[in-house]
Amino acid sequence: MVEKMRIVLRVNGEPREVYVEPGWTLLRVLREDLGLTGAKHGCGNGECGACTVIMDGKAVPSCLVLAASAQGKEIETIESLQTGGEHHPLQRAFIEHGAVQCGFCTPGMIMSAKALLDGNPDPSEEEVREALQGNLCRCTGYKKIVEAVMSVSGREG
Amino acid sequence: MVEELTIVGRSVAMKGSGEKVTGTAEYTVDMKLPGMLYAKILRSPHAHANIRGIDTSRAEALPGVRAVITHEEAKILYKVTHGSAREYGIDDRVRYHGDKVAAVAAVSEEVAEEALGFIDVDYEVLPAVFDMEEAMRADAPVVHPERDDVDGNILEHSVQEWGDVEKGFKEADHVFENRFTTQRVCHSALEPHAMVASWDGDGNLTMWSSEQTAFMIRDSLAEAFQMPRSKIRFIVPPHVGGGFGGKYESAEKIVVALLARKAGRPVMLRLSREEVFHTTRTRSPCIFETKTGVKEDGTLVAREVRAIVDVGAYAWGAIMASRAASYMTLLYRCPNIRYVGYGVYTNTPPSGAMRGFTSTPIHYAMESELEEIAYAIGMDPTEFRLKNALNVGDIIPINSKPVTSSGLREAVIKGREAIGWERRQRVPGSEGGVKRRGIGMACYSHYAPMLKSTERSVGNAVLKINVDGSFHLLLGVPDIGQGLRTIMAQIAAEALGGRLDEISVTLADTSVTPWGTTTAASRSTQETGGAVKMAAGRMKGRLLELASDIMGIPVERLDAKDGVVFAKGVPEQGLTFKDILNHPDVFQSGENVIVTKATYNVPTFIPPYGTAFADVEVDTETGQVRVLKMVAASDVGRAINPQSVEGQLEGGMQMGIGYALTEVLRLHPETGAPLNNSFMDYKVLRAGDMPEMEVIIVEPVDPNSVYGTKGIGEMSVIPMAPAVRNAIYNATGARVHDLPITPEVLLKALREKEKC
Ligand code: FES
Ligand code: FES
Repeated sequence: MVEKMRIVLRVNGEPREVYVEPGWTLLRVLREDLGLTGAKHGCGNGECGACTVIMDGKAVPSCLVLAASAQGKEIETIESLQTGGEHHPLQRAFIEHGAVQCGFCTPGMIMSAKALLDGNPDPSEEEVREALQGNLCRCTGYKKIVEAVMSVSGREG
Repeated sequence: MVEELTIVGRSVAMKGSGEKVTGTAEYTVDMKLPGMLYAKILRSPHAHANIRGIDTSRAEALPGVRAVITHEEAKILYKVTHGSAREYGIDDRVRYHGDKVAAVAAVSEEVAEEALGFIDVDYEVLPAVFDMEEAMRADAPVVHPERDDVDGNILEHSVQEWGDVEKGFKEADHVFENRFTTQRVCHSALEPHAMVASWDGDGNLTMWSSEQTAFMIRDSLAEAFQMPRSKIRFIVPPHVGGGFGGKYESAEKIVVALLARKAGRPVMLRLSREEVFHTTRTRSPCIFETKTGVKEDGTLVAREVRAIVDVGAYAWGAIMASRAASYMTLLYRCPNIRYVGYGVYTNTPPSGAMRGFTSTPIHYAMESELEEIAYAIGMDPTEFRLKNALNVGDIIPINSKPVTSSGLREAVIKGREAIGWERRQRVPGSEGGVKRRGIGMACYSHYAPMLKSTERSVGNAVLKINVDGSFHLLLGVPDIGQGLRTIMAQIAAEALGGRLDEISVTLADTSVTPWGTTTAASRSTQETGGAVKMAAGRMKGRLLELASDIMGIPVERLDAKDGVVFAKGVPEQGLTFKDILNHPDVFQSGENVIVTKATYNVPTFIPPYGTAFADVEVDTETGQVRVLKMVAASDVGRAINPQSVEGQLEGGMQMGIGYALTEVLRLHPETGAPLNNSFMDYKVLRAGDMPEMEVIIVEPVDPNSVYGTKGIGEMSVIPMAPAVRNAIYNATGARVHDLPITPEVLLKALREKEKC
């Protein structure tokens, strides 16, 4: 049996304690151990962005983050966005702009967009596309996703 | 009388998007059953081999391993709806690099993966064939020697003819010939294929899987396990992360069900991205030899295509070799047509349906050739297309029925304007410079489910009302992310006079919903939508009857809207559906339990027509192409949910431009091993790679279809590659023939142009 290691991280504002094996990723811990299945496994190689969460303020592909290295970090996942039954403005914008089709990319997209807007509330369209460059979508052609993010930034045409 | 529509035709948010934006939408991979095990599949490292022996004892001895199966238990031969039964089980012969050899279920994926390394296989490696033309030779290795119904590797050989092409070519003033090739691509839905199987103590099997069809799979499972259909429950979970044809009867379900039975525990299999790329079905690579004869004035007089379709090691995609002929007859008038098609086995990944199935590759060839012809005879390519286009009333040769509506002319005119068509080069490649701009276009038509008059297209719907006047709609087909659930609820609400947000939709559960076909071939809005409209109409009729008794007003004078029945002209004095059901007479007699059901046979073949325009910039030194703007102008009949239609067309552009420029699944020429089975190496377009996009919806409401609609799920992908290719031709004069148009392909075409 592989020796497990105890780590403590803050997930969506709450301290969580988990026991992990050396190779486990943050994505695995979120999905399998903490039951937060909003982040999706689309590739496991950091190439699709479906697993994106925010770690210490930065959007990261959680499939590339070793759980052990998340010790003491502040993690935000898609599950934290809705507060008091109200959608976050980005969530609302995604719904209203038709930016959601199959939805498998959606949690990752929204977290990448949130990390962008948290740091730069008024991005240009280029900056939005740049921030979403790591997030693949096979359904939408990205147009409505970019429009949704722009609408929250207040830059809608 | 023109129907006044209030819910159909309105952009509404997709049902389920609230779940998706909050991360609470449950996909197959998010399931967790008590005691659930995880499966991994041992895949062949050889493209062609016999399995002489296989020893699983070391793997079985590994702690945490609960079941191992090989061909000895999984070589199930049974009839399947399509393709080859061997693909669904495990055979004692592997036919491509990645084919199934054995499968393990264990307490975790890690343990299952580790166990694969402890399975000892004795392979007798056989010569393999990777090239479709080589595979057609008499001395080629035979991929399926067990099939005595197949001539060597030629699974399909189709000859279809209308008129007399020899005579047609003699009458032509100009004859053009080309050879085009298209590549193997992967659907790349973002959700990897996943499935769960669970047997209960009474021997009933339940499976959940990320799929485009439920009932056909249940039927295959029933056949494989020799069980009555009532003992098998197949459920497509409410959320599927994209399909595009790639989740049409995925090939691992029998294996997972066998593992679960052997282990006595539920088993989940989720494919890795690498497996999705090289072991799920792909779009077939094709070769098209084309020949077209035209009169001086641009009239098409003869067309001939010889097509070779590489169907891979297992051939769901073989029907493409015959069906592609249809697209020679759907779009343009031409008295003399001949199509010869071959579907050929090779030791490469299996082929299958992909968005614009049977249609996208041949459109690339035909529309590329037509664009060059237009310039060669001095015609505007758009006018050349319109001159030859089938008009309403013209007979479509493939099924001898007339065109009942066409928005092609309007689409071309609006698309031309949107792209700035007059800016194209009058003589392709006539402008100099390193960076060159050009504009190209292509037209398309598509309609898969009922190409021949002998084929049927049937939808079913069941609608139930609750005592509060809300509804459950039950349908046998899944929503694969494109918004089927929403469209169906819109149709129901419209036909019923109900409220959209009070209709919940349950899909694709073989123990609950009525039988359904597949969510594929752009068919559901027509097929299932037709049944929904009828079932909702019946529900409304029943509610009006009940209301008539209560209100003492004849049924003919009643109508319903927004969940209220009222006398026509007096909408303010109405009875809500709830009032009707709770009226003592209705309630006590049990008349308040209303279930309506309908079956809809799609009466005729209703093809959409449309076009795409591309504006590109080509760097003639590096061979790089930048698509600056793309316009999709499509005849959709009527848009039930315009925002959703736009989303389909925009998504199709992403896939279509990728097909044109970047996407290709490459195999090692000697071993057949995949060379680029990751998103790092297989280039799917990203947000920053996309051009400006404009969608134009044309609505020539068709008299024969449900609310005038046409299927559009596949449309926008079809004309993209030829439009981009033709824009490159316009910019540079380079005659590209091969997809994808990588810098190497383009530089080669540029050099060939310099030589002439
Ligand atoms: S799953 Fe992490 S980037 Fe794809
Ligand atoms: S909505 Fe399906 S991948 Fe983005």
